[in-house]
Amino acid sequence: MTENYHFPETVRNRWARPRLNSIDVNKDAIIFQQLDMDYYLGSPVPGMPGAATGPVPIIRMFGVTKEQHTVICHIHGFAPYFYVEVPPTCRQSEMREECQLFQDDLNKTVLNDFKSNKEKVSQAILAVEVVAYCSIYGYHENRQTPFFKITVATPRVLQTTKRLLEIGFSYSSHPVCCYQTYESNIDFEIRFMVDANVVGCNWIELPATKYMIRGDHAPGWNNAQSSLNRTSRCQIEADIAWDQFISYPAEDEWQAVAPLRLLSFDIMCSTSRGTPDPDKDSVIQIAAVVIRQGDYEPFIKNIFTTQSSANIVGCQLHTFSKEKEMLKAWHEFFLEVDPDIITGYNVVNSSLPYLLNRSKALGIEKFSHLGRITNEKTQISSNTFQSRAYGKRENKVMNISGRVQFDLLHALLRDYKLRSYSLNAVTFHFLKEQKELLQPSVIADLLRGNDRSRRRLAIYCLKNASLPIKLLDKLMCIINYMEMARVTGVPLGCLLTRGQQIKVVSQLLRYAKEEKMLMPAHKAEAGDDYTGAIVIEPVRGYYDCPIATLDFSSLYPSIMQAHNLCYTTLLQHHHLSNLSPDDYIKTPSGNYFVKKNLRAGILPKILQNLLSARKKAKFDLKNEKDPFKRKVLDGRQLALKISANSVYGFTGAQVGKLPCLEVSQSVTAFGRQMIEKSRQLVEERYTIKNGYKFDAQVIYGDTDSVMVKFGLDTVEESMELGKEAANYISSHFPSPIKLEFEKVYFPYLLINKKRYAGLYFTKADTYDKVDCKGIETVRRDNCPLVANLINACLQKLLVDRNPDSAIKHVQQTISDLLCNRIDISQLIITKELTRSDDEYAGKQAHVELAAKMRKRDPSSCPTLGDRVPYVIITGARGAAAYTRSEDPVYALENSIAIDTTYYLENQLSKPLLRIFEPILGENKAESILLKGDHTLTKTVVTSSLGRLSAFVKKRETCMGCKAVLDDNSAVCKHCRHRESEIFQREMNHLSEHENRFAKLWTQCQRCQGSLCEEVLCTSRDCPVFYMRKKVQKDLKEQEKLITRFGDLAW
Amino acid sequence: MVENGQGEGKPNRLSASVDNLSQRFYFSEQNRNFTTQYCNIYTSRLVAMRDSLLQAAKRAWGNDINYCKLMELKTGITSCIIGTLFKRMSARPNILQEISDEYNLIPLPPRTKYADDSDELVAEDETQRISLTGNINVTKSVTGVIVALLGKELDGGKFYVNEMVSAGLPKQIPRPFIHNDKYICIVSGLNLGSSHQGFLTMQLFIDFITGRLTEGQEDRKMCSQIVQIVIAGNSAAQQNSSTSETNKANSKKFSSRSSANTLEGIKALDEILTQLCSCIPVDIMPGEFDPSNHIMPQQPLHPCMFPKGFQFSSLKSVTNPYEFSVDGVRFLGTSGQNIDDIYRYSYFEDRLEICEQCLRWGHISPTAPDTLACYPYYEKDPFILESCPHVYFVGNQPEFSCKKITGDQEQEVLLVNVPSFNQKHSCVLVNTRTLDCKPISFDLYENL
Repeated sequence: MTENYHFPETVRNRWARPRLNSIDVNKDAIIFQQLDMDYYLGSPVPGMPGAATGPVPIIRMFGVTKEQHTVICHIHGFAPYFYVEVPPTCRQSEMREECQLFQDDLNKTVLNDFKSNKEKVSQAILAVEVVAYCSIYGYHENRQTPFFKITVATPRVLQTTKRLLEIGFSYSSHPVCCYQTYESNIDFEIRFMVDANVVGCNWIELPATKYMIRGDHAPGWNNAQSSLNRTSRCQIEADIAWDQFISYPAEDEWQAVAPLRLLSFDIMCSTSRGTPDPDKDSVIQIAAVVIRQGDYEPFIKNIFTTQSSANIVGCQLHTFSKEKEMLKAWHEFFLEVDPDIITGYNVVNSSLPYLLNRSKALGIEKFSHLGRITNEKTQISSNTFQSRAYGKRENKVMNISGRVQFDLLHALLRDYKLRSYSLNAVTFHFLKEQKELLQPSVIADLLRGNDRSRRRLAIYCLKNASLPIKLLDKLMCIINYMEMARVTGVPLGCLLTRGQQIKVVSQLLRYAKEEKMLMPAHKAEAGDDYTGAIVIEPVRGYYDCPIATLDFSSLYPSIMQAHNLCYTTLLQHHHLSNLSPDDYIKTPSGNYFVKKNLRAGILPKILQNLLSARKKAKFDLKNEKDPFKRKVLDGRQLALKISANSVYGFTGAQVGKLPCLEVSQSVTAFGRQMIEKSRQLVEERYTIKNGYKFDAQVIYGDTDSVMVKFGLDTVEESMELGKEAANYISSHFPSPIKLEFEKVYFPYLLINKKRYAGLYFTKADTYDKVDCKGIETVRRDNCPLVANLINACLQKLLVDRNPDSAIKHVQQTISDLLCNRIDISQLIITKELTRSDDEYAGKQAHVELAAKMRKRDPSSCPTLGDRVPYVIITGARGAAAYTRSEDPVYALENSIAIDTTYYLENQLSKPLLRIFEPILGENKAESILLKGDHTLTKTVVTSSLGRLSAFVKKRETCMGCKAVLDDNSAVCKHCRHRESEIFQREMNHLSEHENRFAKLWTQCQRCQGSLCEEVLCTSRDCPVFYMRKKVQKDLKEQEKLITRFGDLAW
Repeated sequence: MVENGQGEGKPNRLSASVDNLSQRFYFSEQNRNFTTQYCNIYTSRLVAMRDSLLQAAKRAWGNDINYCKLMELKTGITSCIIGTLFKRMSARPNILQEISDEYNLIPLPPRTKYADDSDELVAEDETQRISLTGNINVTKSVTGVIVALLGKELDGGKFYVNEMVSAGLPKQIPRPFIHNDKYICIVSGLNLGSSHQGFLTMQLFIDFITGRLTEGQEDRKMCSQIVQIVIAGNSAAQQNSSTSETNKANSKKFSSRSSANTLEGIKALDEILTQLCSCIPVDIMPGEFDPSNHIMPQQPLHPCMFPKGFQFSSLKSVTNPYEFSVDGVRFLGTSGQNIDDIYRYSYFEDRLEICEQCLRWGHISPTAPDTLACYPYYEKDPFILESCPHVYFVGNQPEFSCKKITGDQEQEVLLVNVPSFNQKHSCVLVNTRTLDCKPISFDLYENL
């Protein structure tokens, strides 16, 4: 390649992977951790199993060895297949012949159905054989029935064949029959993984002599040289038959993680207005950070830029005269450094597609070759992902073979509920650091500046690239997801792009296969929902005594285990007559399942396996010292827990692969029954009559826990009794259901169903934390004031046990609010602009504001997908709240009055009443909190804008008595004797403002990471942003007041 | 105006010519501007001090040192760099935490030192910053100091320091020859208006100055030789802790935070000033707890608070820091915030050592603006030590202590830590002829 950019040798060596030493096929095994898998259609390779003609699907497995070498392995001979029941008209005695007939006719039908045979398939159906299996769905008295196993040429053929069989097919002289297909809706890769016992991210060994190495390697390699050409950029490219490699389960030494390369990057584009357009706006900078999994520091940090910039220590700077050159060079860097995992913040939906589209616009052909397959082009498509757990989202999808796209944003969206998902907010939330945020206009200014200002931009970009790495490490995302992939057996890349179902399917298939069972292909259709789980009505109130909480550990999984609830044990009504009543149970929801002695269910087995693995992981975790291994183990146990819980969800998912309402509603019904029974047991046993001090009372029962008031005074006593009760009740339930005593709440504030708070004790002497459920501490559609006030109140109520001080605090805060003393950052409400205005049915505040801001300045207004921060300002009497939304900065700069009443009535009042009503009583709470003296004083701010303000002439008033003055002095003659006192008061305010000014601005100076550079950050997620603006304004005004006392320096 | 009272029985007091040299610390009312940022003061400091650092570096390491800017550094080549130190401190209080604490109400344990073993040093010039390692004392360095460093950049992007020099004492004008012993009396931390304040010791002090306490010939003579009193801050009482609790809510309310004790204190101060000024010139500096502005440099206390004292022309309200000369002997002093701040953010234990270091760093208050609030100067840094004083005093320190230090250009400076009067019941006399220094204690239990 002659047009390559010439990087110095040293630079290249730094990027490149370690050199590969020779491999001797006869002696050396190749062992690698596989990361990604796909398949392609190729021609059959002689010597490999499978079809000898026509296109065959070949699995491609990508991975990395312990020595950082990249491996691609072509796996041959695995063909897609599925099952159908053998039709009843089939002649049992002539099975071989029937199979042949079925195959021939089906083959013909399928080939006929092809409009254009793109894949050039000549033989669609490769084989039909009869096997004895049984369906997973329902109890079949363990009888196996004959199925046709239909092996087809390619996955696409499979889909066609499935469709044709389902709409009706007849072969030979048999009547038309609509076949129920089995396991026909399984992804080809998953099918392969299940059959080859491969799980996500496990270690694979290609044993010596069993594989072939492709390509012309260094001389001296003693290889049975393969006639096949290399197709990839991987260091090792090998071929193997699908039944010849070894797949290690992720246990013991095979739990290790290869030194994977993570590349995180961020780009910067030249645009001064809104979203950059790849057809017009050029890429100015690309910052990249590369780290090896398991290392503490990145080994590469670099910046590619089109404009010169001053150097940055510890970071290589590559400057190019033209954007095209830069993109080409970056592409080279990308391929040379060869990342296994591509990460960053919103790279999948934004940066990466931008780079691709931009280079397309510039005509850089080869840029789209990002994957490990040499001739593969990366293409962008869109995909709408919808899941019960994660909601609806639109994502871009890019094919980059051999590299996993692991976008931190997507992981966070899945795993955490946050107020804001901007990188700034996320950084502050998890790392307690703030990060600069620059406006496009500021970026443009810096760009036009000099080397120094551009260097600043480079650092900014670099920070955006390195923060995701820091966060991934802190949150252990990679490890956790990798463990999840191993536990559930799906590829790593699937976990971020697919829902929960695929994980359960993968496990279900593995177990079903062992038991010779088949999963029917279910057609998704919506159905009715079933009752939820709440059982015991809460006895609302504020409990100033210890409340013991008894939890069923892993309730739903253990119910399924205890009662053998599964697809395979489900009994239909008409089967009951064949069985003795001892062989089955009737669940509280009226469904029937056979007992273990007849058939042990698959789901209980899966759960058993997951939970015992979790127990083991937890045990190992306790004994492990190495921090990195601890991370792996902790990730593992968490993955196991989540997986166990998702099994129940899978059976209840109406639009899922295989819903089974009988199972899921039985589970919840059992749950309800158990909670109720626990209540009975507790309340019957722990009574004064039985020699206990008090009559115990169950005050609330949640999905899987029971709150008991034993009436004892100390946490310690309650704990003892709690433990005893847990054992006592557990003995009444079948194993493995176990009621565990976990914690005592003292005091406990029970507001309503799913809404409570308490001080959480697991040890008798000190509390662990304040525990809140369903209270406005994390809700995103409230302003921070609400969460902060509620938090403070809970702290006072629960920790200090001082309801009076809580009430005072509320009154003080409300008074502060009404007198405009609350910082504006506390009053900001944010909402995401998800659709354009006309798509919203009702008028909404943030949409209105976005429209208003567009009128003011089209270049800096929020665009689709942005979170819009706003405050509610005063307006004409009776005007709807949505018309009174305003940009907080605009409101601050122009002293626009905040509608404090709105905040009191629409934001604070409900949550406050909710927590205080149990304490104060319904009517009293409102009168004390919301209507007291503290609400009488209000401060009215006069806006500097508006029609009237132009006509108002302001005259100074005496600072002592507010009398209007004729001149500009400080006090009137009647207050003259108090001048010293008044002066001191004003001086104190000035000092406070000054102090605040210094603290805020030095914080920003530190945060931006330099002393000599100006602070340019405009991050609105940072509370300092509004405060420092406010304090400048306050200082100016206060200073004016002080000068009225006469000059300080004389 | 009432002239200096020279009534009967009072010593015939000597006088001296006192010049206020603190113009650079004053603001005129127009030029306080809070739209500028703190980067400017760092930049001006670096620019202003670079030359003297370069000279110091040449003196220390020879004229042929390889001086370069940080961006010109080449890995592995020994070079000299000049930059501002910045200390990364994990324990430093942070406004972000404060904001969240305001609502979460989890009190942080109070600390006397915010320095920590995990602190790291960084050097920065206009072009960029670099982490420091090697032969450098992190615990006795603070943010904001300009230093010259000899060393080389390592592969990992850190700078390995072989040696470090600071600017050293600046030039000193020669100390004039003075015939008579004349004393400057420095007192700080009168703490008037506080509950545990000794009225009697205060009165003893006044009587001593005004000559009513003097018994022997010696004493009388010495008393008459005191030519000037400097009150170095904290004349009014600090808000005591019991009131600060209620003030937390009130401070938000902006109701009168100036509690009664400060008001009382200022009134009492007015009376005392009246007594003192009637017989001796008094310069009063504001301190941390006085009703002046908060950020450095603190502006003079406003005359409207001292309606009686300012009847006398002998009372002068001055800035903090305060630089002046007495018969040509240069004094520089602060009310102590600068030294207290460095004490908190370093492992220095000896406060005199901090004073000495500051002078040798060539800067009165390097930690401003980082941890000590200061005005966001735009084009200058008034805290740079441009000429070396003869006496450098710091008020409101826990103990009296003093020592003389010398510079490599034969500068000689007397360093004085003036104790808080309220705690130690003593003031300090500095002899302008000999630069000798002694504390005068008014402790009732020690002396009587």
